[in-house]
Amino acid sequence: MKSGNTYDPQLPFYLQDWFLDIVCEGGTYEYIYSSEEKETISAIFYKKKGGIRYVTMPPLAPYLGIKYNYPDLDKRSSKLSFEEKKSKSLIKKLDEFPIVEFNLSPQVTNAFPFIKKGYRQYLKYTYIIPSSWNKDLYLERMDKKMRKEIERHAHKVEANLEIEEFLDLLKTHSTSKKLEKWYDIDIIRSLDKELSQRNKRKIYYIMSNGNLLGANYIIEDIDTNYNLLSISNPDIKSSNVTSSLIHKCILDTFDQKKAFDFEGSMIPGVENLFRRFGGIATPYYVIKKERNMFYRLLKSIRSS
Amino acid sequence: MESNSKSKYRALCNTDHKIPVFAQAYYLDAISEQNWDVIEARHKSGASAYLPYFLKSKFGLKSINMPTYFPYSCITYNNIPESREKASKAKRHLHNELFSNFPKQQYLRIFMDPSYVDGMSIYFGGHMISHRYTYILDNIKDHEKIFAGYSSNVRNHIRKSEDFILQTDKIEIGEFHTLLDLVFSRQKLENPYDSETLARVDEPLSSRGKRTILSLENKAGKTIAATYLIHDGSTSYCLLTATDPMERNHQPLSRLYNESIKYASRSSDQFDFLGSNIPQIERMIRDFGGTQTPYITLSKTNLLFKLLKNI
Repeated sequence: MKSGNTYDPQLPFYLQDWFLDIVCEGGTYEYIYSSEEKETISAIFYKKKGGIRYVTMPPLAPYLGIKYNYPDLDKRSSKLSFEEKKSKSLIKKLDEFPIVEFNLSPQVTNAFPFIKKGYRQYLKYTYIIPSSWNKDLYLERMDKKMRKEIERHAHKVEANLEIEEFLDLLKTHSTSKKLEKWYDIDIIRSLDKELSQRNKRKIYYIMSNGNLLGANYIIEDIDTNYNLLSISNPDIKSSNVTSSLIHKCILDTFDQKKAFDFEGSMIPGVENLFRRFGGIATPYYVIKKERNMFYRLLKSIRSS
Repeated sequence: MESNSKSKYRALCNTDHKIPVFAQAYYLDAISEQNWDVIEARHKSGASAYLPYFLKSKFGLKSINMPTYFPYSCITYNNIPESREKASKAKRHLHNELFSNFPKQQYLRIFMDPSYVDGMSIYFGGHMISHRYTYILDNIKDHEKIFAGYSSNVRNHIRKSEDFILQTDKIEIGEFHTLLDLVFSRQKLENPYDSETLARVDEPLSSRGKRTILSLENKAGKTIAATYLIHDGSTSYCLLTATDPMERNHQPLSRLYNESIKYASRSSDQFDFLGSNIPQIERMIRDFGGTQTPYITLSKTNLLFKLLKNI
């Protein structure tokens, strides 16, 4: 269900209406514009539970919130004032909700407009290989041991796996890792249809003796490729499957002169793997508010 | 009796003069009456790291917090390998050790200095991470460029207060504190900066030539505003500012900040305003055109503290 819509090809995929139409199942998404539409666009997703409306992240969306389109500004302070002014309409909308928690994109580096209005922020991290890097720099920054391992156990990585094969592997992977609740297969299938039609995705895979060893689902956006899902076959043990897949995805990203966003991770084992590729640990803000005392107490008890 | 790590760290401070002021043992002694300790971490490469902290106990509850006059916590590294990759691995190990070895406490809040960016180690140590902001001006020796970066408001305020007389180290620390008292009494608030600690902080900084008090006088010779600057290698910090509330209409602080930046440029390339997250102050500082620079805050609260805070 949606409220308001837009289509601007320059917006990142996670702010596009065709993306939000699919992932915002069970809730409502809404666009919020600043006074002059083109200068800023924001999107939020909200749900209702137990009579309480709350702002949250839809599944598969790495970020949401605000996208500034800066005019020519001559001073640093003017940029900050612009952000403060243009985020007002989003904050005003957020004020309608007693509970708010959503991720801003790493490009939003100033959370002060939210802090000033009583919102809290905390940090999460993703790893990014910037578009300004070239292959040589990337290989130099990569963990030497990992580079050697990838060279030694070279897997043949191919692109364009059929979505149903990918989903079958995802089901096996999710069951083995007890991650079923994180992936809604129907949503991924619908999303794939849209992305595929728009030529915005690639599924990389490694096949060995007729068996699928692993696959990576990449969203190819305007200036960044996003590592949406990395999965491996739990039934077949093989070295360097995930690292070989990601390595190939990154190499192809350089050909497209884009950045590569690993989309996380804050899970120690996964973070350790991503870090070894040598990308830049990039923080992004989670904006939060809990105006409901019962909810706050419940969260306090749960997180302790 | 000092811990072994604290004694080692003290010895390191005596020999390594590149350790920032805020991490120097003499500064930690001054702000806490020697009531601080340090976590030591080691790596197999021979690298080590130290993180000072302040543990307090009240009503049986222990907390680690930031004392007054202590804007940032800084990690001091020793024997870090030269190669970029080895250094990065050693540092990650050291950070993981440091942030998972705080003594048991019910509440923890630490502000890292802006050069520290490895938030992931803090997160894996079980802490919440967020940002606070300061504003930093770079290349302050280029006065023209710095002035051009000020907002028109700031430039107007500077012009308005041109008649005030600038004084360098004319007022004593006691007079500075009296001026601070005026600021808070006008707002009917208790002055959080106690004079004894301020005098203790001032003594080692002053004797080492690491601080300057700039002030503005009116024509009658009355001090109407002052800044307390700390000079530390390539950076000068504005630790405190105070303005006589009766003179606020003249906006002397803009002029004083401008003079402070110029003065700091004699020894430093960078000027750190040290904050602020208070909207009115942030607005004023922002207008000086510095780079909004985040610094990591780590926090951890146990259930009892959380419940008390959330009721």
